[in-house]
Amino acid sequence: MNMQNNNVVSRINNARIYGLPIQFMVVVVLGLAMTIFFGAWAADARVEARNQPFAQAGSGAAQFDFNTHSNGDLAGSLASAGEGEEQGWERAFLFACPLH
Amino acid sequence: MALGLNLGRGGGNGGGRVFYAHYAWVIVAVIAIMQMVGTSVRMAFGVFIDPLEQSFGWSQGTITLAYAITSVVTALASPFAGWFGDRFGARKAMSLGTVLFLFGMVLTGFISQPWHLYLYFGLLLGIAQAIFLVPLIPAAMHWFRRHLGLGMGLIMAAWGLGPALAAPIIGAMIQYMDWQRAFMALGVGSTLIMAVLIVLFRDRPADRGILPYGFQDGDPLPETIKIDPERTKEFNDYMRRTAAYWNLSSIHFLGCVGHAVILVYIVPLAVSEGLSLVTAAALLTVMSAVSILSRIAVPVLCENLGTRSVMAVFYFLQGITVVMLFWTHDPMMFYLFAVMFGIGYGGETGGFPILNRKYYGQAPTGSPYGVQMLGAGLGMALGGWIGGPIYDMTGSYNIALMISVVASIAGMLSIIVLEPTHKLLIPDWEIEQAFGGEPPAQQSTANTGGGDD
Repeated sequence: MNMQNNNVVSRINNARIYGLPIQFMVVVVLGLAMTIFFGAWAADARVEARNQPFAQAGSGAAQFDFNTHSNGDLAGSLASAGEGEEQGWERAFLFACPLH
Repeated sequence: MALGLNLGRGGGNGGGRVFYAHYAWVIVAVIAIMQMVGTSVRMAFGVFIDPLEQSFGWSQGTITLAYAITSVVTALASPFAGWFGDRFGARKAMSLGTVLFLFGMVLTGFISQPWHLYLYFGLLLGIAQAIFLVPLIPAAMHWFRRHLGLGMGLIMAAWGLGPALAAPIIGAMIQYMDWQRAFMALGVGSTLIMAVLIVLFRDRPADRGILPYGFQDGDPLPETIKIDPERTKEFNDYMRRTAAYWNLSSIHFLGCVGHAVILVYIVPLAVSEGLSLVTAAALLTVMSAVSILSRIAVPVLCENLGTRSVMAVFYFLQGITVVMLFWTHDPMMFYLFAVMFGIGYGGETGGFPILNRKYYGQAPTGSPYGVQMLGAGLGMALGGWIGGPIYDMTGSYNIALMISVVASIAGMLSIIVLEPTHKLLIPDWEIEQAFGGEPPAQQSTANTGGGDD
């Protein structure tokens, strides 16, 4: 039983993608995917909110509640950003994410 | 290369005792204080936000971006810091870090534009902190032939104690002088402390003519002269070919995502459940205080009971306690959570130096430890950031909490499938040194005493 476990461990540690261990690559890919997805989600919602500044909560993805936002940065930065204009980081996330 | 020199036993070998007087404890104290002093400003960054906002009228986002830059720079500079420590020694690394720290702190006292803050606080202090955090741990490992867990436990405890002490001290300084003077006074005062610590510090026991802590008759004699950079490079190549070199970095990443979500968002979460800001902020103090116990205990337990098993248990504890938060609404439950989470959170990091010793023996481990700290830093950055957009989109922290649980449990599973620790993963640095040529094919155990799994 112990030998079988060791064989499984050995097989997992020997499996490589582009010369790097499969465990490591899975974490890198998922970490990147998560960063891009949530970043693009945030960017998408910010752009929509700027385009429809008076949209009511509950209308799709852009469900902002400026009053409950923890430090008011989002509301402030939305107000200061040009209407409908995408900022650099927003463009980068939206470009990288195939789901947004 | 080491055998011809006369090595005194000024440190004594303790006659097999676990505790005895030895210069290794001075080294432990030096590293613990160095890391507390060098990283205190980042740990207490929150106390500078209001004064900076009042002085310049900058938004909180503009100011906290400096904190994010410091975190990312520290993470990215960690592999370089590890390499620098292996190549030039931890003492020279400390000197470089101290110079960067002094410039970063004093220049931050003169800022007038956000980019000044990003350059001096974000970049200079970010690199300085990588140097304080990374090469000193592998250096401490040279001082312990056995009972490394004890030394590591005390150093790790300082990581928990630092935040608890830094914020009130720096807060009091800002109250008695303006923030500019506080930065400069902290910079100069800390540099003086660091200078004394550098004088006391030695890279290796042989630099003081003594043997490492826990050395016993029959152990190979440690090196007494500077390490050959070519041989270090050769051994770093061996390490890079092991799966553990990379997997330990991704495991540290997962562990840090798991607790960063909680450390950053527990206060707003508790406030949204009706706790006062003061009561909610005290949760962080409870977590830090409790974590000190497991920071001390985990390296010792890892060394004696088996590193992988102990680390897996603490990763599980860190993850499973977060599930409580889905049903936690009253202060008592929040405090119970803080205690239980603090145990797991404190135990997340202490096993890594022990695993490095088990996998790579006495070889210089600055490089793999640097890569592990890179993973840790990126995990802290991702975990600390991800709750923000999630809350903005959903109005709840539930998805962030789920990510925290999944990251910790995934880290636990990754630990379980790491290579067993009963033999080194690379040729034995000491046997190769004794034979003075090609490393023999036979691999030996790490011989740190205690449990393997």
